[in-house]
Amino acid sequence: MTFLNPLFLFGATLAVVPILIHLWFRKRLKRIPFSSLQFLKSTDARRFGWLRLREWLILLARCLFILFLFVSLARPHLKSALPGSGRLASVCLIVDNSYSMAYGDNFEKMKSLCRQVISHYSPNAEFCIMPLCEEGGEREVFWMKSKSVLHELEKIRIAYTGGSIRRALAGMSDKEAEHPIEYVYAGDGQAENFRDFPAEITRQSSFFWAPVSAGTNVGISHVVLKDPAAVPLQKYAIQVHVNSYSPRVWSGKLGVSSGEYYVEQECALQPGAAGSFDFDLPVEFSSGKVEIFDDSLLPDNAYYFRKQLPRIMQVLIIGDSPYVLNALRVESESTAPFEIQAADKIGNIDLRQQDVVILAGLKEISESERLRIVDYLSRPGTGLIVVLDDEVGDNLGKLLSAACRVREKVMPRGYVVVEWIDNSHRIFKIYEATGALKNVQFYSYLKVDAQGDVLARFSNGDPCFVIHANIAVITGRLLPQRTNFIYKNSFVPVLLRLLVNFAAESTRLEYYVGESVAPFNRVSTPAGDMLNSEDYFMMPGYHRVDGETLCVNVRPEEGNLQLLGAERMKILNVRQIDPERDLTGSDLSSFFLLLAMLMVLFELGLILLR
Amino acid sequence: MDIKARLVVEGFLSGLHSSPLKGFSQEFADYRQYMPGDELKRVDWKVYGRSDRFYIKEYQEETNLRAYILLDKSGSMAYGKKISKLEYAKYLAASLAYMLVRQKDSVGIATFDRRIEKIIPPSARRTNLMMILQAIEHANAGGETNLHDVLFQLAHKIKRRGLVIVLSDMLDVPDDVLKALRSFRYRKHEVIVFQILDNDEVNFPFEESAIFTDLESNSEMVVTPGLMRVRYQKRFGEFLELIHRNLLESHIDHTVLYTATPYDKALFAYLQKRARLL
Repeated sequence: MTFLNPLFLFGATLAVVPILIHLWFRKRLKRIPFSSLQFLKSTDARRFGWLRLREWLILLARCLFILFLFVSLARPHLKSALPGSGRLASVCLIVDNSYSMAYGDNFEKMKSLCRQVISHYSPNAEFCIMPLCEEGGEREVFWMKSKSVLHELEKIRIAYTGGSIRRALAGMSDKEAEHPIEYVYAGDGQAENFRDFPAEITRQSSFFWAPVSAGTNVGISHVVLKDPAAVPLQKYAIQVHVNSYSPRVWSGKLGVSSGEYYVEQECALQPGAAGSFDFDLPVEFSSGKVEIFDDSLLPDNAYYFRKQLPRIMQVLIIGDSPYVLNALRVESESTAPFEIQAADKIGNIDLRQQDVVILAGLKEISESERLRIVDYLSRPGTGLIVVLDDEVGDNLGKLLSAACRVREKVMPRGYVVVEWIDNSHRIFKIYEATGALKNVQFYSYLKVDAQGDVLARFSNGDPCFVIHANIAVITGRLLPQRTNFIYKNSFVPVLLRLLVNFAAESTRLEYYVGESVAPFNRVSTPAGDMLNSEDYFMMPGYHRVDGETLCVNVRPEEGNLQLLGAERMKILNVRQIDPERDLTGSDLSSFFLLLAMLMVLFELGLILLR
Repeated sequence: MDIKARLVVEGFLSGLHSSPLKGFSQEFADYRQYMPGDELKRVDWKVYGRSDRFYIKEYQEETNLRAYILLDKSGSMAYGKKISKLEYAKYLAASLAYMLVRQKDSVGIATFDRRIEKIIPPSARRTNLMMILQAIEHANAGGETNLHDVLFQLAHKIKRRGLVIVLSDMLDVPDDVLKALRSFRYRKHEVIVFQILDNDEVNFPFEESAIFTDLESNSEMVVTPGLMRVRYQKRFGEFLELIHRNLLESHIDHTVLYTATPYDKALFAYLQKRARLL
C-alpha cells in the first residue's frame, strides 16, 4: 500500500491520544486498598466483564477512529500484488500484437498495461520487449532500461497475423540477463498464442500474464459460392461460414456489402457451433465484404471475398466415350454449365477455346497433339481429364508423366472395388458423408505410379483417380464391360467435380495475411504500398494487381478467441495478473473514511449500550 | 498488649467467664449430704455443729479448659478505617488469653495467613501467656488467605478436645471454610468464631470511582461504587447469612464483630450471651 499524501500519516500518531487520556484519568483515580474484591467481582461478574470490555472497546474505537481518519487523509493506494513489484529483475515483456488485439482500443489498453508493468519493477530493472508477431524475421534481443523499453513499446504496431509465444521467445535462449528473468505476457491470452508454449522457461522463471479483455468469440471462417458449378444468370449465392467459440449463444447480424449492394440478415449460433448463412448477390459484383455485427472484435469479423463466378465451360471430349458424353449432357447437378464438343481426334480443333479437354480411352496421340495439349495446359483455367484404355502410347505416356507413370495392365480375377477415397480432398469433400464412390467396381485398369495426389484407390491399393495440377487421370476405361462406375449415382457428380475443380483452381483470388505474394509481381495494398513477389501479405483488405482485385483476410484461427483456461494456465505454470487489483491499484481513502465513521457509530452504540 | 488485655479483663469481665464443671475450687457452689466415701476434709463442720448433720460443701470448678486461639493475620485483615481488623482481633485475642489464664485455664495460640506462622501449645502458666501475647504482638497482616487449608491443618494438630476460638474475617470460599470448621466439631472441640469485619465492608459506603486494590492479591479494579453498591451489599449479606446459618447448624458459635464497636464491649456482650446460654 502506498500513500499519496504520506504527511498525513504523522497525524495517525494522534491515535495514542485517547490512550494517554485514558491513562491520565486512570492515574487520577484514587486507589483504595480493600480487603477483598471477590464480592465486587461476584456482584456481577458478567456485567463487570462487559463493562471492562466496553471500556476497552470504546478506547479502541477512539484510537481507530483517529488512525483511520488520518490514513484516509493520506490517500492510501493499494499497490500491486504482482510478485516482483519494485524489485530488481530482468523482465522479458511479450507484447501481444496479434490481430485479435485490434479490437476497439485493446491494443492501446495493452500498451498501457505494459507501461504499468514496467513502472512496477525497480527503476534499475532491465527489460527486453518481444512482439508476439514479429514482421520481418527474428527480433534481436537486448536488455534495456525502462525508459528505452517504453520507447520501443511505442514502436510496436498491430500485425494482421496470429502469433506464438514460442516463436516470440526463440531469440531469448542464450541472452544473458543481469538479474533473474521474469516473463510478462501482455495480451488477450488467446489459447492459440500458447500453442507449443515453451514450458521449460516456467520451471526456472516466473511467467505472468497481464490480460486485456478479449474481443469476439465469433469469426468468419470462409466464404464460398453456394453452388460452384451453377452458372448464375442474375444473382449468385454465397455461403458465409461462421464459427462460434463463445460459451454463450451468440445472436447478431451478418451484413454483406458488394459494391453498392448491401444485404444483411439476423443470425444466431449455439455455443461452440459452426453455421453457414446464404446471401444472394447480383452477378455484377463478384467481390465484397462480409461483416459480423454485434460482436466484439470487428477486424476478424470482416471477410473480403472475391469469387470467380462459374461460367459455361467449353468441354472437348476426344475419343469414343458415349457414357462420358451422356453424363455431361444430363442436367443433373445444376444448370449444366458445359458446352460439349465431341470428336474422335484433336485434329484442327482450337484447344485455346476449351476449358477442359477429356481424352476418353485414347491409346496414343501424336507428338504435335501432345505439344498442343502441353501448350494448352500451360494456360491458366484449363484442365485435362484422361480416361486410360488398356494401352498407353509413348506420347500419351509422356503427357501424363507429370501426374503418373503407366506400368502395366491389370486384369484382376473378377473385379476390384474402389475402397479408399480421399474425402478430405477439396473436390471430393462434398461426398464425404455419402461415400458415393464406395462399391464402384473395375474389371480391368492400368496400373500407374502416381506422381500427384491419389483421390481414390482400389482395394489392392492401386490408384484409381490421380490428380496433379490441372491433369486428372482415371486408370480404368469408362465402359460398361470395364466398370460399373458409369451406372453409379456418383458418376456424374465426380465428373462434374473434376471439371469444376479445374475451373475454380485456375486463378486464386483470396489469400490470407502472412501468405506469400509470389504468384504476383506487384501488388498494391489497401494502404497504397506496393508488395513484391518476395513479400507477404501484411494486412487484410482489397489488394490490386494488374487490374484484378485480390482479397486478403486474416486467418480464421485468429478469430478463435478461445482463451487460455485456468487449468491450462496451471499446467503451464502461468500466473495471471489482475490489472485492476495488481497493477492499477485502488484508492482506499473512502474505505478508510468509512471505517472511521463506523468507529464513531460503534462508539456511540457502545455508549448507549450500558 | 499485656496491659490492654489486663485492663479489659479486669475492668469489665472479671467473674463473667465461668466453668460449667463443679469441683474443687475457691468459689462455693452448693451443699449436699455426706455420702460414704466422701473425703472428711470436705465436711462442713460448722453446719454439722448447727444442724447435727453431715454436709459436704461443693465449689465451682474453674480449671481444666484448654483453649486455642486461632488468629487470622492474612492481608484482608489489614483493612479497617480507624483500627484494622487485625488490630481488633489482636486485642481480642490478648484479652481472651489473659482472661483464660487468669482463671487458670490453659490457652494456646496459632497465628496464620495462608499457612500457620506460629503455634504455641496451651498452658495455664503465666510465662505461656507472655509468649502468647508476644506472638500476638508480632502478628502482622500479609499474605493471602487460605483459611480452609490452615484450619484443616490446625484441626489435625490440636489433638485434645477443648475450646477453639477463631478470630478471622472469614473472607474465603465459604463452603471450604465451613468444612474446615466442622472438622473441629468432629473432633469434639467447642468452636467459637469471631468474624471481624469493618463496617465499610458491609455497607460499601464509597462514592467516587476509584481503583480498588485487593489487599491480598494486589489485583486492581476500577470501581464505580454507585453502580455496584446494592449488588455488593446483597452479595455480602448473602455471604454473611450463609456463614452464620451453616455455623449454627454445625453448633458453632458465630459472632460478627465490627471494628467500630469497642472490643471490650463486644467481648463483654459476647460473654454475657455465653453466660446466658450456659
